[in-house]
Amino acid sequence: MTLAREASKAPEVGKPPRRPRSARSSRRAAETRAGYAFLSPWLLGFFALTAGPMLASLYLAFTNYSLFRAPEWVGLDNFVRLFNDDRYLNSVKITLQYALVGTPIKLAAALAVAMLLHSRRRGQGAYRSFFYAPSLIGASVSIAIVWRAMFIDNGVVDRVGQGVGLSPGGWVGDPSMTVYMLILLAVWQFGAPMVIFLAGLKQIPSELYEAAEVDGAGPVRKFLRITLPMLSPVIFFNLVLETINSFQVFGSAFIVSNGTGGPADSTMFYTLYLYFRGFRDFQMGYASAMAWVLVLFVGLITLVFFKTSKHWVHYGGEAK
Amino acid sequence: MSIRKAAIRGIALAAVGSLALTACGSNGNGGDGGSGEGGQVTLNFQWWGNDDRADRYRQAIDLFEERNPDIKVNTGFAAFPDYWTARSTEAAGRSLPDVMQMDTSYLRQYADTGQLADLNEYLGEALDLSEFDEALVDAGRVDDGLYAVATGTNTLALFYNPGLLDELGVEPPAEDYDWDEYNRVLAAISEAGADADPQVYGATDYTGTFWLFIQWLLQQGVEPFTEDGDLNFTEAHMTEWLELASEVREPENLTYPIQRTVQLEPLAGFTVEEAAMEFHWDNFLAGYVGDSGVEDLQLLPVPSGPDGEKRQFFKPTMQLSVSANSDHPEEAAKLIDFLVNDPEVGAIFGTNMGVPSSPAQRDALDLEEGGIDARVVEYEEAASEAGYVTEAAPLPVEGFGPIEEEYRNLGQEFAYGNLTVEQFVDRWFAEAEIHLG
Repeated sequence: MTLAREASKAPEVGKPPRRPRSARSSRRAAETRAGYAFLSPWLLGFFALTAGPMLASLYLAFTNYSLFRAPEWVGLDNFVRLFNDDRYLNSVKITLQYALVGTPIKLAAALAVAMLLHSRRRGQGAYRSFFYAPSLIGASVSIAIVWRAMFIDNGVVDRVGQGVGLSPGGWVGDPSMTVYMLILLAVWQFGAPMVIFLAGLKQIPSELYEAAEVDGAGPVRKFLRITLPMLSPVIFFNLVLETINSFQVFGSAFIVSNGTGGPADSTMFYTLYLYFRGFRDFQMGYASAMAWVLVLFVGLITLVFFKTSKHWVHYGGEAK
Repeated sequence: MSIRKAAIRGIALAAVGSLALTACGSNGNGGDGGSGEGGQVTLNFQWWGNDDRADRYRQAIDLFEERNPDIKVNTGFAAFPDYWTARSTEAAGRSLPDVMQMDTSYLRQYADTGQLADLNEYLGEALDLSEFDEALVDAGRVDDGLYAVATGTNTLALFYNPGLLDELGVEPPAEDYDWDEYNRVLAAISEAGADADPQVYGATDYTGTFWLFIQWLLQQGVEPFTEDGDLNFTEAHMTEWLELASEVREPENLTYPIQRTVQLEPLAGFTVEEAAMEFHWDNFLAGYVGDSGVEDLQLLPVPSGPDGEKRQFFKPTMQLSVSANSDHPEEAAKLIDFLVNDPEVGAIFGTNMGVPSSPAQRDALDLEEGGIDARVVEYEEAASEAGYVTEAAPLPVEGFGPIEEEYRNLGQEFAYGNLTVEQFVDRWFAEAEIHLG
């Protein structure tokens, strides 16, 4: 910290310059130019492919734009329409359901497996790879297809269920179950947060556990009083990331429903509905409005996480 | 100094490189295929369909390139919904392919917004449609401009599985059946098949199909859309149509369960032999036979309306259009001419794209007695001769694609019992207002 402060102070003109100022500043300017030049491919991409389209979509959100004709200004109509659109409200409902149910389960699974894999044992590396593998392949189209095949009538899940006296039936055709099928698919891909949890667990000093053991703390108490608080920054990080991700769920729903968001709109998640309105119905203005509502909502959720974090996230060295 | 020079050179290279990459990216599959060596013209041709159709197109295109060594054709294809997603974004960037497959439900949208080339000026020269049925040529016209050429025709039909009906001891409907009679047969099959393994049903709930609703409207003497692209029917019409099947839905639902339909996609109850009948366009026979493995599927005309008339119509199965941004519209028209007129192409496609529009291609079909193509051609010929086909295909309105999709979606929700008839009608009309207004 002090070093950095020194460094940032250095260029200030306090001491007499060793070289003529003009030469020095021209060199600095050249360095700046070179810096921007090296950044240029990225900057170009950012402005042309991200910032530009985002601004354009902000404008389009207030227009009626069919891709075929010039946009026509309609004020807040698109936003008003959102709140009267049953299919939109349904998509909000199931996306929230997916995020609120799926994210905690996924994080809990990731943490549980990370705790298991944390302790030293033979073949540790292999186990970690096994549990991480679904995250590598899970987002692929083929897995979504396999997932669909597992959850049809007389599919693997149905038969196993029958074997233990349940009759789950085919979830693919049952609108009340499809969202859970997709939540399971997401939970199964817990590898990424798991790896981060593992790294976090390694950071916890073992003296803390040793001291607690000496004081007679059991495993539950150690978990609640040491692991969770010490891990809270990592939990926070994973929570923010996974929540944002789950609001953007698209691919798995698209494939499992054969690109329809069905049955009966039960997998018509927010982004899927946005895509349908934009690219199937050519209502780009309406789709842009939806996109901005999502951006604002996710921004708001993130803000809430950050605001509340000071009550439950403990950074090392802080007194508590 | 030299390091700086090298750095600058490196940056310049990187910048040029990234520009070059973007340039490549924006080219994509746009319709700007320029002239190659020796004055060769390259056309870009996009269509929707499956592997089977791809194989047929490949053979036809090879033939075309052989006959026209100065024209090269690049092709690409996608499934129907993805196809239109890609075209709509290209349309926004004025980079549509030179030649593209067109559907009547999208024709107005593309023609009215100036995306398509008027083919009138090539008529009689590069493009010869003199042998075509006039009504069929007119189906490609929007306000005097000729924007699409039909590859073939189809009309709605009731498919049934004779073997399955035999097993259950139920007779197929007689040709002069009406909607009530259809309900009775559907119910009889479902009742007879209740104990079969797997359980067999009559058919899916037909009221969820938008084109059947349009067929029914025509039978009521109602033209579905007005000249200026508005709805010409009311909530009462749609309500009456949806309630037409209420006797097979209640008290016990005798239609094929929606849960199964959803799980079977892209197959269907009919093609896994769990439903004995299904309405569809007649050119689906080949696909149905292929999917089900049942060779002797049969076709019947649609049920009659209140006055005993069928009032069916021939719809262009699919059409071919040239984009307005094409650099080689004349060569593009030539390709279309070849695809719709050449007898060899007719033999390659069979009835894959409907019963061919041109007599030369129809004559070239290999109509083996009782074969698939023969059954489709016979069905259409018999339907014309019996006076079942009396209507012109309804005017396509701008926004037809989305309102049809909305109907399909509501039909599914309705089949799951999530909606009442009233809610269905309200929601559909609210959406239609947005798309057509």
